Formats: sequence, structure tokens, C-alpha cells
Amino acid sequence: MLKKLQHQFLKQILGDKTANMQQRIVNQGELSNDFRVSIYTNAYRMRLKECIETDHEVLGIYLGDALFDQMVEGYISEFPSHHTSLRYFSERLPLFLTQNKPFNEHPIIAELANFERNLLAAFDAADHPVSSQNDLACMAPEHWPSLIFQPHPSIRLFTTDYNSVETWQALKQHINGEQVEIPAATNVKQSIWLLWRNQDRLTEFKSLSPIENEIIQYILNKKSFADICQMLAEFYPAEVLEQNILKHVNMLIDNQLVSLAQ
Amino acid sequence: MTSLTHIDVPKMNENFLGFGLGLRSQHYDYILSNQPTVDWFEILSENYMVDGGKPLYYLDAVAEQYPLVMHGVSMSIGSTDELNWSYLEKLKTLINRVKPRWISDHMCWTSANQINSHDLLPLPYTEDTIEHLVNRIKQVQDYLEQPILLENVSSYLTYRESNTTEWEFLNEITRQSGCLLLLDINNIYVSARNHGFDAKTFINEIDQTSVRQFHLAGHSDFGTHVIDTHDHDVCQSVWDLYDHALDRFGAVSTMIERDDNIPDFPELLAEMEHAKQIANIKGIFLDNHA
Ligand SMILES: [Fe+2]
Repeated sequence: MLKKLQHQFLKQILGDKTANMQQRIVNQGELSNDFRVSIYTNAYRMRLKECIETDHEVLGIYLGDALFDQMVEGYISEFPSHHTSLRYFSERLPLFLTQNKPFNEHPIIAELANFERNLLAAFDAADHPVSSQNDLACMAPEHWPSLIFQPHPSIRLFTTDYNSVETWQALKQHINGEQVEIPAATNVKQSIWLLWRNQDRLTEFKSLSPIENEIIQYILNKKSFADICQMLAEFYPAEVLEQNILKHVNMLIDNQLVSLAQ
Repeated sequence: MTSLTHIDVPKMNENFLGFGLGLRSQHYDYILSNQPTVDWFEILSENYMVDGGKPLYYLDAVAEQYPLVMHGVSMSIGSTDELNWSYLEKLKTLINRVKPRWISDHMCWTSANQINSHDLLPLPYTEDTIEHLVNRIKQVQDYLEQPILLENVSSYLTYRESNTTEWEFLNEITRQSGCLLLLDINNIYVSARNHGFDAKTFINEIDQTSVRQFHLAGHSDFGTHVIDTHDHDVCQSVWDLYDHALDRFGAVSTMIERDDNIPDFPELLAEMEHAKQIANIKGIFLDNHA
């Protein structure tokens, strides 16, 4: 009995008017039964829309009201929430945007959504200490080869075919009241971006060179420092190898990306 | 802030925490740098069911300085789906971290068929529903090893099959399950207006011993109906009802609940002070429990 009522109500909330919930409720006062039911159906869509707006502020500005509303309607219908927290409701928005017209005709849209998901993931990923230059200096030379860098749990790699991160930055500045020119969408070259959260709990991102990307891939795959050096030795001429190894290690340490472990 | 540790708390009232506010991320920095005089904070449990970062950092920092209670929205205690054990496990993990004075959720259902409406949906007031709820509340309380508080929700419709009043429904559940009530005074007002019952009757009929906490909040009044938006100041009718609730229930931990259109911290603090004044006039203080 209760089960049937809940399934019927949910069906109505999800947008199926044939659920006929108004038949199951009492006539009271001035408000019609249709109106009473619509309070719930409207609240459902409003709440989920607000959630997408909050998580994807920049995407919202990029799309403009009409397209944003179209996206919200489509996404809510196709991907109802299976989570107890709204934090995860929009997880599949990038997927929706790559699968549905007109959004998938402009791949930068899904890239913008994906970038914002990655920022959120870095924001509340697990905490972990990172090592400093001092920790590095204290490390005995014989321990270096077997060293495995522990990546900070917030680290995310993000590949773009379009200038989506540059566009995101410009739109963010625009939201903050700065006078900026929003770049036109172009797919000049593929870029790889690193996102992470620093020890002040601020989310950062930077573009990676192909060799930096390779190093991060090695670290994420728990390869040792010796393995990384071997890979770098194939990339750099012998006379500049050491200085480049040092440069890359400094990049990892100064950006608070790793801790040192044996 | 008032330190609870130096107060001789009589046994009867050990659950009176005084006057609190909902902890909102907009106010983290203000609270930590100004240490305002607030007796306790209520956190929204789901906001802290994450792995790390700012939410847990600020949670730990505030927990070091203030007593906390936990308030959730996703237990879906009235649902006919299986109890969501993975949610309850996360809740228990958070309880172990926060060590709250108590935890609460809502007397409602939020999900069915594994789909979450993210809304607090009303239940029909019937014998069957009571039995269903009591059974589930007992399971949750056994698992969490403590009684839980459940909050009356605002509602906009009455099911045809309901055959008792909301207050009798709540009383029956607290009596049979041993759970406690978080009475939201604003929700009583909102439901009373939408269904045409007398809000004071609701308060007069609720068992006195079952109430552990009050919520005070604002709503949007559309004349023909009222929507529980939590985005306004507490209105005079709700203050009057609070006054009446104090007469019936005595010293009950009270807080201002604001979820939207969140003002600067001092504005909420002023609302909390107003609640305190109403209680003080009745001789209700944190320090002497008169
Ligand atoms: Fe409430």
C-alpha cells in the first residue's frame, strides 16, 4: 500500500502526469489538488536546477539561460538522482553533453562541464600531507632510487581538445566583475591539465608539457624514482639530464603534489 | 562563548544546550575568527560525507570550540526501499568524528525505487505507516547505538488514506520506537496554514517528554498557501508559536535554521538572540535552567 503510493508519487515528481497523484489526496480549502501536487513537482525540478547552477556556474554563463534550461530539463529527465547527496547529482552531466544535441555539436561545452567536475573532485578529495624541499634535502642518497612519490589524492588529469580551460578562466573573471574578452572556441591543439588542491585547501590547475604529463602518469602508476629517471634519460641528452630531473622534482615539491615514501 | 563544562547542569535538563545556529559554509571564517557567543551549532550531515578538503577542515575546527548536533536529510526513514546501509555507515563514520550531542533527520520519505527526490515527502498517517516507521527507526537506533531525533516536515497535501492527525501519528511513533522529536515550529505553522488546522493544538497535543530540539525558520507566504523556503527571517506568527511551545515544553535547545538567501552572520545571531530573549522572559536560561 505505502510502496504503491510512494512509487506513484515519485512517478509524478519525475514528470509523468499520468501518475494522477491528485486523485489520492483530500480536497482542502482554496488550493486545488493539482496545485498541491505541483508544489512538489516544481520543487523537485527547482532543487536539481539550483544544484546544477551551483556546481556549474561557468557553464551556465557560457550557455546562456535558454540553452542552460534545455540542458537542465534534459539531464533531469535522463539521469534522476541515485545519491543521498546532491554533491554527486551532476556527475554524469559531461556524459549527457557528449550524447545529446545541440550540446555535442560544440564539444567545448562538455569539456567545460568536465573541468568543473574535476575542480569539485579536487575540492573535497581525501587529505594527505605533502613533502617540502626540506624533506627532500633530508633524504639519504641511497634511498633515492627506490623512492616512490605518493601523489596527493586530489590530483586529476584533464585533457582538452578545445581552449576550454582558457574560456573557463575568462568567464570566471567575467563573473567576478572583471573586463575580459571571452575567447572564441577553437581546437588548436590538445592540452593536458593538472588539477589539485594545495595545503591551503585551494584548488589549483596548470597545463602540463608532454614530459611532465609522462612523469605524473609514472607517479600515478606507483613507479619508482629510478623508473622515472630512466624514462627521462631517454628524453633528455645526458649533459642536461641531471638539471632537468632536478627541475621536475622541484615542480612536484613546490606545487605540493607529492609526499616522499620508500 | 558560554562554556558548558563549568555549568552545573541539573540531570533533568542535561539535554538543554541553549541557543544555537545552523553551521553554514559562508560563515566558517567569521565563526573561527570572531568566536561568537553561540551555545552550539547544528551541521548538515551530508555536507561532510566527503573524503577531505575544506568541509572537514572547518568541521573539525568548529567542533573544537562548540558543541555540535548533526542534522541529515537523506535517511529516508519512511521509504519502502530497503534501509540505505551504505548511507548509515557513512553517517556512523561521521558520528565518530564529530561526537555530536545527538543526531536528527526527518519524519518523511525522500527516495523510492532507489531514486532520490531530494525532498522531504509526507507520509500517510495510518497504522501501517506507524508500524513500518517504528520497525525501521528501531533498526537505525540499534545500528547507531543511540536514539535519533526526527523532525516534523512542512507539507502541502493530505493523503486520502490518512486516518489520524499528524500529532497523534508522531506521538504513536515516539512512544513505540523510543525516538525523539525535533519540533520545527515553522513547519508546524506552514502545515497548519496549508491544511487548515490550529498550530497551537498541534503543540498542545504533542507528548511533552518527546521533544529534544526546536527549529525556527522563515517561509514564503503566498496568502492562499505557505511554502517552507527557509530563506526569510522568522515571522511574528512563528515567534508567537515559539512562545507557546516554550510554555508547553520548557527549556528545549533552540536554533535558527536558514538554508537559502543566507545573510551575514550577525544578522542570524540577532535572530538567535531574539529567541533567547523570549525564553529568558519565561525564566529559561542555559545557566540555571529555571
Ligand atoms: Fe527544520
